[in-house]
Amino acid sequence: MLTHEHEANILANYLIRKPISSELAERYQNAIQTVDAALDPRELRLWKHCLKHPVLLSYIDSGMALHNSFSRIRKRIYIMFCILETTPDYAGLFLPKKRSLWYVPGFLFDMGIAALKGIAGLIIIKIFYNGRN
Amino acid sequence: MAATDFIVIGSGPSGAQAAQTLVESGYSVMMLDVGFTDEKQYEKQMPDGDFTSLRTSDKNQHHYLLGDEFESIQWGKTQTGAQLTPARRHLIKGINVLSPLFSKTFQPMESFAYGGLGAGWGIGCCVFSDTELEKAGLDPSRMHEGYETVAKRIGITGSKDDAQPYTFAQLTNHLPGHTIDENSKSLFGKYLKKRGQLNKKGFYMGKPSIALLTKDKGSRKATSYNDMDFYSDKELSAYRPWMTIEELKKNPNFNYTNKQLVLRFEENETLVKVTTIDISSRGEKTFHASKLLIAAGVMGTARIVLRSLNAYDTKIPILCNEYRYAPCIQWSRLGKIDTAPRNSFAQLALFHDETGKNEDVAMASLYSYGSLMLFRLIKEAPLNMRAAAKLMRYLSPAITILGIHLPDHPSDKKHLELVKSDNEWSNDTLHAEFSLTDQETKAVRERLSKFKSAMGRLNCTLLKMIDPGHGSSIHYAGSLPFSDEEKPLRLQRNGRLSGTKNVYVADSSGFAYLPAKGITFSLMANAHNVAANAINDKQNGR
Repeated sequence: MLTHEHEANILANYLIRKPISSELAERYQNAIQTVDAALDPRELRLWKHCLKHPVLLSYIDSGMALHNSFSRIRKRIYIMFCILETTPDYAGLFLPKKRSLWYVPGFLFDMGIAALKGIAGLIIIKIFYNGRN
Repeated sequence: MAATDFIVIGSGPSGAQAAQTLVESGYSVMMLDVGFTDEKQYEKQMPDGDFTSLRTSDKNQHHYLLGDEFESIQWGKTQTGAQLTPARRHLIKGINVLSPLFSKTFQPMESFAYGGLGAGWGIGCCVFSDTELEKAGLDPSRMHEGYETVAKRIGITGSKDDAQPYTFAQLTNHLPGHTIDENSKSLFGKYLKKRGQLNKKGFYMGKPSIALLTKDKGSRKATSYNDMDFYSDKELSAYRPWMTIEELKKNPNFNYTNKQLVLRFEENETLVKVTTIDISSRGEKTFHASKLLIAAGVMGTARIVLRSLNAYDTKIPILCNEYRYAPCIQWSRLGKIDTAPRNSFAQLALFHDETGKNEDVAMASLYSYGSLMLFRLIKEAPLNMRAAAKLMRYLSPAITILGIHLPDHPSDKKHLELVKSDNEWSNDTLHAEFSLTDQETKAVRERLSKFKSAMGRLNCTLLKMIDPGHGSSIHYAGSLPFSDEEKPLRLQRNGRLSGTKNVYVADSSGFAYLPAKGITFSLMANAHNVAANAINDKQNGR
């Protein structure tokens, strides 16, 4: 069974590609208990699936951004995002950075990939939800 | 209990200024207030330093940036008050319980905080034009005196630029203008280049006048531009009404009594009796004074007045500025970062004065996106969070957020009504109905489209026009409009409530029209005048 610590680490790895301390994992656990982040049975099945296969996270997150942008699944990812952004060790990953024009092509490519992931994610969500109904 | 000269209800901008005028005139004043404060004392957890350096150094930042109960994690459709930082969350504490409001169309923000809504005010200070004052039912010459008095008390900045007629106008009591950040300097530079075209369309840009010290004033320090203004009032450079009350507490004539939810007043020949519920003991208490000044905010005042006059199920008008906010991208700022010291308040103001007569002016306050963090932005992007963070991190230095306010006129589609209910504190609930007429909807759409086009002329692309709903402007007025006749539920021009002898209303309830320029400075000036009128009546035995 996946613990909240494990869940926190998977989310941190998805968001910043870095491991996190147990203190931050505990903060994540506190947060999801304090703010209402309980998943309904359908979301929970999808969420467990994502955590078992973390490669799916970016697709499900992208798809949910189009399907139901304020879903509880996204809320959990968002909570981890908030925790990471307010941790000094990772602040540099969130603060603005000076960029040259050379940054733009790579940036646009990444945004294009994110958009495609959105479409793919939508399809996965539809299949998953329809298949389970 | 011995009667005091004056009771003032509410510690917000109006209450604080009215109380100061009364105390300075030598009268005994009791202020009744609920007065919630930041019990977690987040401000004390914030080390000195600017926002960016704290972000990279302070291990405890999550306490005051996210909140111990993760108060900053707001998920779902943006609601009024959603942007409040943990140190300001007490602004909305207890509202749903102590003063319930039922409405499907109107979601206002009220406050029982110490200092009222002024504890989270954006500190904009605009002088209404004479035409706007007259439409609101206010005497322009008295209001100019009030503006000068309040400006001298609180300290406001003023910059001589195209916006001056709409900001501090002819005020003599003003401080030097504040410094603006690089993003805004760049935008203002573009405005200056295209000024002729924009002026022809009725648009004027400049620095807003704000209640921020650019010079030390007593114990209050000039701003250090640390960009912590949304989190802390530590430097006391941005004015908050509680600062006035803290000063007044040093005067033996002033008595601040908190935890009191005012229910009603009753008058006899010489005294006003005020009944409250003590929110700690839940017991009723009574207080007596020669005169009463109500400054509980428009909805709070409406509840007290309607309940006291037993005017249940009676519709009274309400005014509220239409509000939209819109993130814009200034493309030339992409990839650049601003390391210069800055404050978090509006950097620029853009006024739309279609007729050139300084009437029915619309106003946009322009903010740069700094200290509010990426997490408030990313949920707006239709992308996964990782990509959204990358997008917003790149865009944020180039983002300007327009907060657009439009003027509001009375109509029969906007009203309040007090209805009996089983609410445990007051046995009633305020009902609100607020919608625009077709003509108003069309006018709003046209106005917003003009702002979009003006920003386009400044090479600034408006990404999205966000409508947080009626009530979100946090500017309310007009529930007990001024009248020359002694009609029920109207205020006399001096602020006295019609049908009463010693009850005055010192907030914006009397304004029969609501200009878009930001109401706080005007309601403080009016509160000073109402207090002066009440003193005058007392001295003349009225």
